[in-house]
Amino acid sequence: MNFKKDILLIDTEFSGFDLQKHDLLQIAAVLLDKKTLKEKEVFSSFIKPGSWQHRNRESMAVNKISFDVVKNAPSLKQVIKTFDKTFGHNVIQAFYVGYNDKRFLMHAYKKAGVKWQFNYHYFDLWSLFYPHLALKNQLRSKKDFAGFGLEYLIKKFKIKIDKNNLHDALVDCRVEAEVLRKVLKKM
Amino acid sequence: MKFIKDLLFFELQTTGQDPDKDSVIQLSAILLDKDNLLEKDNFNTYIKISYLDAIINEHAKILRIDFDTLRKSPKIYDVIKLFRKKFGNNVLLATHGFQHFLFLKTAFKKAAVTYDYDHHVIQLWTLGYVYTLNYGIKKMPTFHTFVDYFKLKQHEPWNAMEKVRLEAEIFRKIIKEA
Repeated sequence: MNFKKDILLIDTEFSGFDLQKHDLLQIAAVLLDKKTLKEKEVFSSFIKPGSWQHRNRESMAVNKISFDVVKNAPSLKQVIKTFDKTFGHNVIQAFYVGYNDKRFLMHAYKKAGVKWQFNYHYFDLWSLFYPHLALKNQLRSKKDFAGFGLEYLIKKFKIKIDKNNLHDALVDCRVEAEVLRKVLKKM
Repeated sequence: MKFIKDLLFFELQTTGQDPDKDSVIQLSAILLDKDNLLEKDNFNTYIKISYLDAIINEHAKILRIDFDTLRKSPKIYDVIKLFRKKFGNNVLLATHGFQHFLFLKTAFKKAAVTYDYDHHVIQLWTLGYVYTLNYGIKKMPTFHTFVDYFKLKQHEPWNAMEKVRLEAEIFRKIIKEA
């Protein structure tokens, strides 16, 4: 496998799905080498929330981020500036079912006053994993579809992980990277 | 091969690149059977954004259709309602890239129709990129890279219906050959 650029796999945690009401609470990313897909660089930071009182309870139950963890975290502007400098822009961004991650990240750039300079294409890992499993006839019921989250992938691809840490953005990134390596090896 | 839901490929023609500022003026879709990926149904319509002749004229030029055809076309609210009703929501959406998906979601919002599809969407660009990498194409691919690679022909780049059929064909070829 020889991608044109290194792959920047990004995962975010947020306090709900509404860009106007909810906060980006964590950004994590791993930079994967374009030839070997080995981890080259890592970024992870919590972000001090601006409107904690508006947090969505269901979202918070998934990300399990408490106020103690984020109350002294750097501001959104600081985090975005550091994130932007860490990897540069000559990368292929990648997300797992990335619609919400990407729109929160783009919105965060706008709020932070940092110019979005990434290529408009991004790599959507789910779009790769789903047809891969379909081709192997491993999608047998509608339950498979509904449950096609990270927990499903961990089980399917036998990835070793402390499940208590799942949905920490950096842990999720590393799980996604491992599944990507396994899928690409088989393709 | 077995997908759990039928796949609804969609494609749009828009007045620009910004989903918040620009508008969808053509919406095309084809429904692929989950078992054999054959076309089961389709949808294609132009969308009238304004009652002003000058704007209708401008959009008709983008679409390369005549003024009257666009003038008689439905508004976004009717199109989105029809689109949602025709295919239901028990489908898996598929399209070339992220921007198209943003435009569709924004169109639902503008039409005040609840967007209730599964949040998973198949993005053809990702699949196509990995597939063509395996065959030695080293540049960052575009839609045209895939069209050329599979020896397909795009005759009307302004036509969303033609584009969505090409996307479905690219998808079938990738799945068949993978």
